[in-house]
Amino acid sequence: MPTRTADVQVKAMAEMHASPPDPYQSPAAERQRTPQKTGSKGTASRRGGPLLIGVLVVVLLVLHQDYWFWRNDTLVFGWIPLGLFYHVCLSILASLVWILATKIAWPAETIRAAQLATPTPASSPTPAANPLHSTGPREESER
Amino acid sequence: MNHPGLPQLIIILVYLSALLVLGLFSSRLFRGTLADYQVASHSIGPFMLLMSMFGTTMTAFALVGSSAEAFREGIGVYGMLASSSGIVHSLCFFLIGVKVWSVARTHGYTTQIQFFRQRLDSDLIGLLLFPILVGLVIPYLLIGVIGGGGVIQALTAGLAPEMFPVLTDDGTPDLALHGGVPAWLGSLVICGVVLVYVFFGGMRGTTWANTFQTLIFMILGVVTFVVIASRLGGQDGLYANLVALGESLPYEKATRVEMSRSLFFCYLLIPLSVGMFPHVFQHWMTARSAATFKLPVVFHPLFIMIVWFPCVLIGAWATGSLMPSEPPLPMTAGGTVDSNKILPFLVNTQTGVILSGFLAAGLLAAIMSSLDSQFLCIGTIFSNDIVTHYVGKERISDSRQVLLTRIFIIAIVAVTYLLSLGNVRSVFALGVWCFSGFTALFPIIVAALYWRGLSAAGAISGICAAIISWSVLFYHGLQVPIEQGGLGGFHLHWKLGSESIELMPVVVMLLSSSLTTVAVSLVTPKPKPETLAKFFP
Repeated sequence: MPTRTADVQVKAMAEMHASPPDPYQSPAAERQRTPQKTGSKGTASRRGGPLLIGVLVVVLLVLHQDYWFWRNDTLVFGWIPLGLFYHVCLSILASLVWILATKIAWPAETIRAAQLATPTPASSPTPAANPLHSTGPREESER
Repeated sequence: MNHPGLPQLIIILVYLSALLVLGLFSSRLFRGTLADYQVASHSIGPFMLLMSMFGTTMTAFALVGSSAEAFREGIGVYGMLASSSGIVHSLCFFLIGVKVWSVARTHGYTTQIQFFRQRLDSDLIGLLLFPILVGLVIPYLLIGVIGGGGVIQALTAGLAPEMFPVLTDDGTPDLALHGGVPAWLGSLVICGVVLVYVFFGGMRGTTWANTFQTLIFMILGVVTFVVIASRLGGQDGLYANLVALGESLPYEKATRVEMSRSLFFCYLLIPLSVGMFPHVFQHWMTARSAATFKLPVVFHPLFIMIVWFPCVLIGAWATGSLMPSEPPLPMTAGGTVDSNKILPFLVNTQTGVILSGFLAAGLLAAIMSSLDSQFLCIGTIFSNDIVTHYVGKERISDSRQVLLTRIFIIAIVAVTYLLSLGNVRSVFALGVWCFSGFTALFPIIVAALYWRGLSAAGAISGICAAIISWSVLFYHGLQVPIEQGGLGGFHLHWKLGSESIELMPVVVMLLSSSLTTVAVSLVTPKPKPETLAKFFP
């Protein structure tokens, strides 16, 4: 478990990263690939994105309660009941909202903090053997 | 090969053998570490995470249960659970999955209990959560075990009538099941196969198997839909058949006139359960990076659509005028249509023998892709949160831990198997109760991730409120006569003026756990500042 000192180090590392690393890729790769968002415009964008996605999710949930098609037995394309077709379209719309969410509301700050704090494989605690598979000592020795 | 049920049985056996080989093959990739066994060394990429998480969340509930419920309730079942899950599941992956992944990777957690213990500075919460999580996973396992046995029996009907007779009340053979491999035997074989590849392959094997099985059941699901539509419609050409089948739907099945609007609303809460599924938590931990979550978040609603849309339509079509009267629909001992067997029955009677064998494999794929994760997760929480936590890693040998964990998994599977031999009438109702329990625990994970004010006492009280309300309501549900819908027919009624609004039990469970958690947290001590600093930097 990280100690308090480690937490302080993590914070210090975060502050040192004036150019934040890619939250998803290696920090070096990110520095090469992604232009940094700076200033108030970037901050506003980061705040506005989650808000917009929040509103869109509420809209999806409201659209989900489609009382207006409750008794409608129209067959779309001659074979799909309207109530079913509507909800299939809602599934597609949900997917589009989630595409947008990954573009404008991705929790990069949270991920960045986790990435900075994640121990490297070399410093990870020594793993134990498979608890369910085969014999432990042999696997330990194979490592 | 022309013997009824034999080609299907051979294909099922070949498929199960292929799974065993895949499990053994993936065990060759095993790195010999606990992290590799439990979370595949956090190495799973976007595609496999998408497939494994989707395969895990889609079980007999999605295939057998959705078609069965559409047979009873009509097309509204899609809106009740599929489109709502498309919105809510992805929301949970986005808001909880990514955050949990970040926190757990930072602090090295593999299970929910590890996270809650550290987050709340409380050992008791782990002790409380362990039996509750295992207890709620059992009905979920039960869905798969029952569904799997039923599928095998229905699809091998006619194989050995003298050996495995199934008779109706008047003593005549029940043609939909007569001579098929008995459900108890099919369930036993499925449990055995899944146990073997989970024991050998761990999370890596499970993820590979899930990906393979998800591909299988998605492809074969679409094929099933096309073939059944072509046969049931009785017209030339797929489109003409679809139109004929659409027109054959009874009005009440093509609309939601018989569905309660308030219950439809309540069903929105059920998919929140994914946020507290322990096996989904463990799958989140396999992600290589946070970006790995993007693909599952985006494609999950579409994948749900691909699986649920055909199943719901097939279930609704089975109520239509084009449904052949011979052979008769499978019946329960009580003389009503056994809707759980509608999909396998249609596969068996409306497709060729070879194709129905493959489709049987597809149905089993969907079922087993959930069972494996649940078996593994039960073993992991027992190993990490009970054995290692209380005995100490240094005080128990690996081989001893292997033995204890295996015994625990086998004991849970045995309990589940024995329960499956009882007369469980509705996979769908059972699933809804199980998911309701997880939904009731949802406020605890949200508060733990996003609210500094959550206290250990608040979380423990919330968990107690959730499980007490679940138990009381479940007990009342058991008292509902079968003729009135049994467990699935139990609803609460809220008087609002002259109107009575129907509510699902999950509303009460969720409200009681939320209010209790917040109220108790407000008046009890918070975790230590250094603990909070770790989780809210």
